[in-house]
Amino acid sequence: MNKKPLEGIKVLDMSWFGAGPICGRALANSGATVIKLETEKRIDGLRAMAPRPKGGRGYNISGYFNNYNSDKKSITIDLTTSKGHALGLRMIEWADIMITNMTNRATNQIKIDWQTVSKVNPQLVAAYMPMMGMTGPYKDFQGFGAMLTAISGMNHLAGFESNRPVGVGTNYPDYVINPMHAYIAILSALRVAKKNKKGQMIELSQYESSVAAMALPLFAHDNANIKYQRKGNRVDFAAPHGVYQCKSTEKNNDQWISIACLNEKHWKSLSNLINNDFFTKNNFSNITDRKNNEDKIDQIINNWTQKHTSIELQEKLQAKQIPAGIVQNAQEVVEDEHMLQRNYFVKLAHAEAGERLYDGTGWQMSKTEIGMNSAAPLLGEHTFEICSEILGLDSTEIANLVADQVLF
Amino acid sequence: MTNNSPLNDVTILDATASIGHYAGKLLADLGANVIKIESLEGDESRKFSPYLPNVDKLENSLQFLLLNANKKSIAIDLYSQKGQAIFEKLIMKADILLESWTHHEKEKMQLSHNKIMEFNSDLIHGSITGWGLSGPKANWAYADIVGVAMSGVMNLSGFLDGPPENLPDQQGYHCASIHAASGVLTGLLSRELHNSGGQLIEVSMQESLSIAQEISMQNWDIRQFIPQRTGESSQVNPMNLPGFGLYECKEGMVYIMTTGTAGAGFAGLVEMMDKHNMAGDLKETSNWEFIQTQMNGANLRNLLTDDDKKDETRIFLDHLEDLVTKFMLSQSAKYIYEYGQANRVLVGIISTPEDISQDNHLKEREWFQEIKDIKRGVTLRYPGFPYNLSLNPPSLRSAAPILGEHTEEILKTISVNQEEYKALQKEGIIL
Repeated sequence: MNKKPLEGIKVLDMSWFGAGPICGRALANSGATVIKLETEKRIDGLRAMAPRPKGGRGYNISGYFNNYNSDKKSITIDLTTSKGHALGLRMIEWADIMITNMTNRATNQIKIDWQTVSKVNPQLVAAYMPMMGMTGPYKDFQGFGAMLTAISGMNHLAGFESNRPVGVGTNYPDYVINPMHAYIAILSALRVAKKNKKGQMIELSQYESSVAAMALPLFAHDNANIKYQRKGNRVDFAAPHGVYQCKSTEKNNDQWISIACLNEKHWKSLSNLINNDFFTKNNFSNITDRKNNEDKIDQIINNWTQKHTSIELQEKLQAKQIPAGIVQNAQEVVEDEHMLQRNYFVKLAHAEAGERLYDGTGWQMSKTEIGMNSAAPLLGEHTFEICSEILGLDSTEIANLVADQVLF
Repeated sequence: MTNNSPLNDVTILDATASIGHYAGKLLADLGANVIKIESLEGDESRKFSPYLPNVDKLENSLQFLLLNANKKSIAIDLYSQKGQAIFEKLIMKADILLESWTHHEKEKMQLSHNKIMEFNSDLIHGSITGWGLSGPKANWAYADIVGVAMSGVMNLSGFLDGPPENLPDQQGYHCASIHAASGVLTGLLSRELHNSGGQLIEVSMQESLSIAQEISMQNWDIRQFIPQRTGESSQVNPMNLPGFGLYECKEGMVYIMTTGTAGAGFAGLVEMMDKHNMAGDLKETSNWEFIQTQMNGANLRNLLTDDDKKDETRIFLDHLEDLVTKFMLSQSAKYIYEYGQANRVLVGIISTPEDISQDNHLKEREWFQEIKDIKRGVTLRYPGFPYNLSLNPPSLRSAAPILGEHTEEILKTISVNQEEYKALQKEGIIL
């Protein structure tokens, strides 16, 4: 059988919340051995968050946490104790890769800064992901994804001008942009480390990383003095482009379909399908004409979509190869026949949270196996195993460390 | 500029449409030799508005310039037999192929993954499409907004009395591209670490976005609750608690997340208000104790669902909201951002692209990159990279290519001499 792509690669994941752990998860899903290091004093904050199965208690049942930590092992070491710190450094010696998204203040305080860890393991790839990077006047600023959408300009650019810049409803950059940018940097550095036996430090400022993945408004400002305002679902380069309300069904009166005409062919097909006098009379065969009449065009499309259910529309539009799809809610995504046939979501059994759905991997590979094998670990589930197998401690030593509150 | 970047020995053919441009850019910035395969008419995004002023058509699209710097361009008719023969030779020399061909395009070129692998069994072949290569919707048409809609992410964004909202600047394409770059690098590492040879890496935009649904999928799976767009509140703060969310300031706006256990919490915010004598009665013993112990989502949820406590809790929270709102209006957003963060209060500032362009923090970090684009006669300022590597940093080495700029140079690498090159040009196989 083929080896998994990152089989044999050892990762010490000292990150928490979204952006760090999802990077660790992707490495684990690709076959690396990923050990998540926490302490009960400072557990990963997501462990305490909703959603949780009804009546459940404790640190192990949050769906939010569990989804982002599949395939990892968990060890609990209090790095603020001197014995704990020594054990932490031995884990760093073991690792090929280390990840943290803590603040600079915290990484210095628990002494996992680059100077310290590179002395212990010169071949280590160490990824630091503080919100604003490791230098500069704002280097100690801290926060979560929904603050990053504000700082990086996403709030200003998202939604309709009539609404306040409230953001996109989620901590968006935490889930793909920042963790997977980190993954790309880590794999690149790992490639060098395997060739040249030289480790290095990766610095990912989540602010810079977020801006880098929506940089057009900034680039257009700096080079063409263009000022972007939020404009709902419209874009400069295509029209019509938006979501349109559909006929209510018994189950759902909040049904919308997204439609985008990216080229003349799409537009012509849509115009034929709707068969409206205004469209046939004016032709609108180029993007400039359509942009100039976008309000009226959108209004006509809306009148048309409101007469049909979203499912009817989706079929009709796609039959003509017009980019279109329902604005699906969580249930519709999970039950999406296409997603089901592609086996995207994975069901995994968890000792305390039961059998739950997990997001699958962001890509599939034809030859080497990737994907999920085990649910998220319980807090400290593998402390004993790791202490004995990786750190070479015997059971008396482990018991003493537990008694000293170094391991817990 | 020397190329000391980690992928400086990797050759990539980038035949993607817009959905994959960012993938090629990420890898090019990390040093890879990325050859962009364009049709004779040029990439579709060369026509996209907005434009750089005073520059020729097809060379002036800002989106194209942004996402294609560091790449080379060969313009070639892949539907012609001779064009395909050239493409086959290029594949033989490549490490990675990125493409986003539709079913229809592949049929027209008579290309399949298996056929491609016959030319180069070590090739890492990355396919980036809206729906992936299998399943009932594999051949559906896609667009960025359609992927975001179908992934469940769009359903979380916007106000209930208005339409769902797409995310700005093509996040569906960015997420698909980021996962594609991750996937082909994983394939490359597997080839180098385990001799696993070449293989197909397949990205579906819909899948690449799904994990950004935050807790939406689990809310359905665990509680059979279907989240909707939340307007002024958010998925993780559906109760719209004080100290959490968007506030207007004297100048500008801030987004704060002080109701919770991170940083200095809500108490930190009250300390800041108190410094300006705007904390009202909040430092009085019982109020202060409540603020220090109860101002997090879990505790407030318990109080607000407890019949004995919910009314007085609601009254007190309204009082807090009133004081916070007044305080915010009395100070500039910049002050609240900088002073608050210096005291570990979780404040973000609402920034425009202009603000980011002038951000002192980014300037001091020398984040922005400049390059002289000689062909277009301009100096362009590029946003910097998402990350820095201490030994082998990413770099901006060359401006975005003119259509077909490197055709001759690239054909030389597969031993097409100048005579043959001219003949191919004459036949309309290359530009």
